[in-house]
Amino acid sequence: MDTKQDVVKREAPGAEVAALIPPVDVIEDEAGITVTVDLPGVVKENLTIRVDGDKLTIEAPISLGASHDMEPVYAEIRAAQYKRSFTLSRELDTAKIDAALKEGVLNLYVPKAEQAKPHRIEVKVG
Amino acid sequence: MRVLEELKQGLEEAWETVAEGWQRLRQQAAGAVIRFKSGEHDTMSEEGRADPSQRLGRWAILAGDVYEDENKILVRLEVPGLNKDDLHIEVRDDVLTVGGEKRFQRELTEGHYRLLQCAYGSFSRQLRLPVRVRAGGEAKATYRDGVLRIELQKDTDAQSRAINIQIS
Repeated sequence: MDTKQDVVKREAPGAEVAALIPPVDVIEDEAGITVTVDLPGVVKENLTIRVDGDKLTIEAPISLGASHDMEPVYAEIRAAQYKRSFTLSRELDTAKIDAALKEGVLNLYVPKAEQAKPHRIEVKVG
Repeated sequence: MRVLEELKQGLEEAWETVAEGWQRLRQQAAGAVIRFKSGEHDTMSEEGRADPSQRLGRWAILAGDVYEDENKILVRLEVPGLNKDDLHIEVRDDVLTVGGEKRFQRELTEGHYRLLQCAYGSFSRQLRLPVRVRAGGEAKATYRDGVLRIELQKDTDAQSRAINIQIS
């Protein structure tokens, strides 16, 4: 499992790409789960969200922005990309994931499948 | 309640190893590891605060880079998920201080699964600049995609002073 390593190594042509695992929040409510991921510096165009069976993978390159003409005094960011993947419960409906990226924070909403939602059973008194 | 148990286990396992990764990062960039304190504006209930594993306010990495050329210094700091108005920047002598508050404003329903790894609350990060910088309107800052960029003009006749910078 990828997530067992603190730095995920991925085979890339000619080089290994080190990835940073971003922190996530997962909050469940009646209808589904909200997954929040801190991805500073990531723009929508570079973000990849993949669902493969019950595995959800979030991937994005880490860009340092336009400062190529300047000399780095020091830099604290080492990895070339963010990557985090996890296994989703079968109760979730991965076909209906809603994603929003704002100020470097990704919010994913994964609804529960209809049959997993709590039902209220009307009892008629005859 | 065993809902999402599978997901929970996978994530917590992952978090163990993330913590190791942080240890390594911390050695590389000790100054980037910042303690977040519980903010006044978050929606976490008193009950939530009482549970230490779910309490808001925790350690997080605010990675920063400093670049320079002949005339200016560029500081890039990763502070995802803030409002521009909740950030404040100050330079005193050769120390840049960035403070702010990341608000937690989601509903937490009792009895449901939750995992909180992102840090919320107020923080303050200090960065030592390679040289002193000029005060006044020459300092600029922008906040985009969770990254704060601060551009400062180098000062040749260094004097002790404090300046505040507005984010445009």
